[in-house]
Amino acid sequence: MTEQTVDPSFTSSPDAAQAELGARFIGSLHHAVLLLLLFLTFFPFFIAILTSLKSFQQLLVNFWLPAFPLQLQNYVMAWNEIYRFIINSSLVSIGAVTGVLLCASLAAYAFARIDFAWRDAAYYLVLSLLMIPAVLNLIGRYLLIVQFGLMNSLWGLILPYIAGGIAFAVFLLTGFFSDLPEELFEAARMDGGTELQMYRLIALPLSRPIMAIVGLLTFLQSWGDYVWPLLVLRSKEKFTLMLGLATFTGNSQVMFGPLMAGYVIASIPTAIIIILMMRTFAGAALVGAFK
Amino acid sequence: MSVQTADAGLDSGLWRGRRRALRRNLTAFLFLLPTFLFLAIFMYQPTFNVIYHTLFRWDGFTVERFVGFKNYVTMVNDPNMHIATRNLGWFFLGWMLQRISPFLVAELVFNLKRERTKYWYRTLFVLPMVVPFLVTIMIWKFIYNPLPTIGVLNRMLGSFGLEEWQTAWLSEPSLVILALLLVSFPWISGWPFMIFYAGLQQIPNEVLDASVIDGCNVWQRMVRIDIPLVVTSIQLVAIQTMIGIIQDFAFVLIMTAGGPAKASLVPGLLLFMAAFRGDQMGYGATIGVTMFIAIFILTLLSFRYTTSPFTRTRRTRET
Amino acid sequence: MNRALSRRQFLIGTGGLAAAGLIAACAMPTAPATMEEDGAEGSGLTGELTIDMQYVPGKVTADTPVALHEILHIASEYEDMHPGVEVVFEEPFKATEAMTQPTYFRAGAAAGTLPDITFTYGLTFIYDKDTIVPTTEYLNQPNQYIPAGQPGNSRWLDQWFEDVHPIVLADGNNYDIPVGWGGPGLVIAYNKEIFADAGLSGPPEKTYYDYYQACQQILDTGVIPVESTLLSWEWDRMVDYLVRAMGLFDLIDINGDGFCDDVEQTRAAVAGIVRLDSPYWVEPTRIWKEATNYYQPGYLQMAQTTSAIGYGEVFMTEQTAMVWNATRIWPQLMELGGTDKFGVFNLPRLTNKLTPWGEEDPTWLIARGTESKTVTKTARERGHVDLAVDFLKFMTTPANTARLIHERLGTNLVLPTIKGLEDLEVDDDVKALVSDYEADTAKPGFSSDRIGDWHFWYEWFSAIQAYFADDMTLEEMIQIQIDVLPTFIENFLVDKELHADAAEWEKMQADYTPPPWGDYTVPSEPFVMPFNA
Repeated sequence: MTEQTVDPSFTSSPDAAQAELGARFIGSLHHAVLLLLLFLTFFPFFIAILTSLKSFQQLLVNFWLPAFPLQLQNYVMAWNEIYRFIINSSLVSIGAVTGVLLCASLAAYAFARIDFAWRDAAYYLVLSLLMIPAVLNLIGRYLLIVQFGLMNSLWGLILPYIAGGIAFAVFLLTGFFSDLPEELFEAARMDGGTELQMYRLIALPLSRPIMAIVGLLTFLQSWGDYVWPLLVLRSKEKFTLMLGLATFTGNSQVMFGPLMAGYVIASIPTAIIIILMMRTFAGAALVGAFK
Repeated sequence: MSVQTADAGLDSGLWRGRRRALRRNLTAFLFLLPTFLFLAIFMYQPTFNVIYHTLFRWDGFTVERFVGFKNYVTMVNDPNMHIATRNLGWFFLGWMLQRISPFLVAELVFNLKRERTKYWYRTLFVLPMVVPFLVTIMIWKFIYNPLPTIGVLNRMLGSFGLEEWQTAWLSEPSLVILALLLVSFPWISGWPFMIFYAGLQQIPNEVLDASVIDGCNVWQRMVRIDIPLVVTSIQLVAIQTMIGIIQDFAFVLIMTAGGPAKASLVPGLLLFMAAFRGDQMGYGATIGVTMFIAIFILTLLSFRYTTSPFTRTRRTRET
Repeated sequence: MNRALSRRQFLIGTGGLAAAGLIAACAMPTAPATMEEDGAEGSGLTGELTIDMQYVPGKVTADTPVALHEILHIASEYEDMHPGVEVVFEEPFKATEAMTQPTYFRAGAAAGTLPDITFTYGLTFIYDKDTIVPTTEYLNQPNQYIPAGQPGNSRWLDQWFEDVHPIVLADGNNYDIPVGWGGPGLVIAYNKEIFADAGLSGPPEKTYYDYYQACQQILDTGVIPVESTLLSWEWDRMVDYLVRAMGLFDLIDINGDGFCDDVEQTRAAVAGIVRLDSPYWVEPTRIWKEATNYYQPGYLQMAQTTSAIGYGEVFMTEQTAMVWNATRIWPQLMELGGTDKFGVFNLPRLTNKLTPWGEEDPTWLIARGTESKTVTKTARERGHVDLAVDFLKFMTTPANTARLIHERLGTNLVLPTIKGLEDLEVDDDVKALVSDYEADTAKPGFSSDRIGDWHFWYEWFSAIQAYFADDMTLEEMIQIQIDVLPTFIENFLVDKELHADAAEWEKMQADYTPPPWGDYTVPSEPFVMPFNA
């Protein structure tokens, strides 16, 4: 393309000029549509960020544009209100991710690498859980949590989240583990390695990317859940971030500014996690499609 | 692995083989123990507890009276359930369109010429995904605020001189479903866009080049080449959406709690309210089981009439 | 192994699931271990007594704008008197989107996590009497903490006013210890500046008529008068007044405990005394619909609770003149300008100026007990019943009750239920009410325990919403209620094993003289505020 010299007569011919004009027009229309869509996509967030920096009086007077002075104390106010929700949510999510990764990788290793009796039956027993909608379990789990005395405790969130995440994690990890080359394991077996050693020293180190994806999915799910914490938690000190946000009304100052500031702050943890895991994120997008 | 009989005697070989198999089974059992412990307690037990109790008038704690299939009969005749199902139908149509429509945007981005521009558009469209869903909902609640001074939408209408269009968007029975469907317009950022875009990227370059040589215009190429080639992605999104729609009610719970009156009630919300506000766990369980059956049947049907998305996507992931 | 999923494999899996379910069902989780038995050694009144108040003692929360410390002092005085006793305050229950008081109570009873003493409201909703210790026996004992010669010293029960004796349930037993009573309703806050702009010098007179007239006056100046949700309290109170005005109260309250509980109301419905197409049920709804003209736009979209997200924000941003149930947002109001800017008044009375069914000058009605205490099954299991009762005796002496009530006067109106509180330092409103009450002119209201379970109320409120949104006529709305009622009654009778009684109740219909509104039919024309007519 670059080598080719452009024939002057070609570009100057009226037909071609018209075609080029048409192409340009279509090209700019193309961009215009995309930019409009981008604008619409970002508009609510743009408004939220704007509002988070205003007092209520500023909001009434100047709705659409930034108003000065910026009310940065809105963020201080919001932070004081929601930081403990962020801590609670982190505890829950970390607990759930750890639990799911540990249990599911052990089970997946057994399914993929150990030839034991009733293996297929057990495997399908786990997989069939993918068909059970979470809403069916809501009542049963709630009663369990009540019976175990885990109401209003973060364990009442972590344990069911682990159970809820295992099936899909086993599905993904088993696929991955069974694709690992058999020679690695054969060699280890020759050296007298136990299954636990092989799991720890071969399977786990090789499966970091897929573990990251499983972890990310579990994290996002437990972080974003609303209904289950609503059922289990009662006191504000224990609220997760999502529950806290839904009941968060600016405590001392007139609404909206601190409220929106709270929403902005609440978006930061997930943003950090997702950006840190950007590389595996595209993969997660595909994997997430299974759900 | 098979039983070794190489140079040992037949008896001892068998014995050793059995012992080894036993040990393998024991190891596997220990590996599986934590998983099945969790699943037995928090998945199998609640599921069967709930299915069993659909046959009871049951408040979960003290009232537990066998009523046979009365709950199912009640549900079939419950006007609430009729309304909820009808509303679900509207949500179903609307959300299905919402989830499929990013395909067009994916096409628009994919057809840009410069890789760098493509990259930026793609990243920007996906960027709002970092915002938790609940935050998006709360911001949209702010947009729909009924007061003309505060609601973004009402204020916008006001500044265009359309005061008579200002209304309480979420408390008009005739508008509420539409308002709920318009949440997060234009519905681009999300898994569907990424899946569609990834699907388009999987189309071999030779096919695209050939289409250019054959003089296909963009529209023809989209209809004849892109859609057939990414149809698995579309199925994938459709199935995922279908399952999600039937059971998700948190969105409606937060936005309107099913109101005004019952204008935005959905079955999941009815379950939630019957079970946890009304202490009618048996009836709630019945709705849950029905939803499970509906999802099960729809999933089976979609497996029957489409290529299995599971196998297809696995292959694309590995390439 | 080929891990691709096919339909067949899913079916196999589901079969496996069924098998697993059988196994899992056999391994039902066992109940948690019983609580530690530190007080089990007997009646020596030692141990750790757990109790929850309706609020968090010593802390400012949304419900308690002023920290309430008095109960902590009372508890420590009690601890000083009884070495070996430790009173532990547990976090109180707070209704959420997902949980109501009865569910909380039953869940707590099932899990063994209820405290020894818990506060209750809607006691008659709690189906399982095994979870509560009857208090009749103890109420007939002397209360040694009351000085000799004062009521209650020889028999604990005597210290309460006649009308507000502890609740008697159908089995003839008492199950609770009333501590404080709700005032004449909920507190409405108003914005003094907006009132002045509308030419109003102060809060409206205490009748609905004047209240609505003030609303109209504010609306005429272009300001939204009231922020509210579809709180049924406005309607509730009107029902209270009409039931009283029509002399129905005594017909319904057969055991004379000052309450119309579930059983009594169900009985009244079966006997035809409570009728959903009678004026005390219909007129409040008609008036209420007209009153929603004074509500902020979008009031229908809010949940039926003041803990709803954003409740109060319209009032706090000075876009309405008044807000219902202002205690909820009191801390914010104090920061936004305090009593210089905002005032409060009580829910008004319903007179015949607004509806011909009302009385000319009705007495104050008092809402149901906002705080009453029950001794729970946990106390029985831990051997703490005597300790719990003893503590309650101490807590409910006139001296201590006065302290508890006094510190709450600024927050929510809580009225004394106990004799011997004449010297309370209270503001004039409350003083008038207390003296009315002691002179036996103020009466308990009716509808504090309403007929119906959740399903009934869901239908009821959905129908009201549809009626208010002009999706349904008044007649259709009433009809829906009438259609749902039999199902509720049937379930209620079966759950409480009251079928035998119900047969008796049905017989009453024959003897029952038709009420004075016998020819009342549901009006088809909309209600118009009398001052606008």
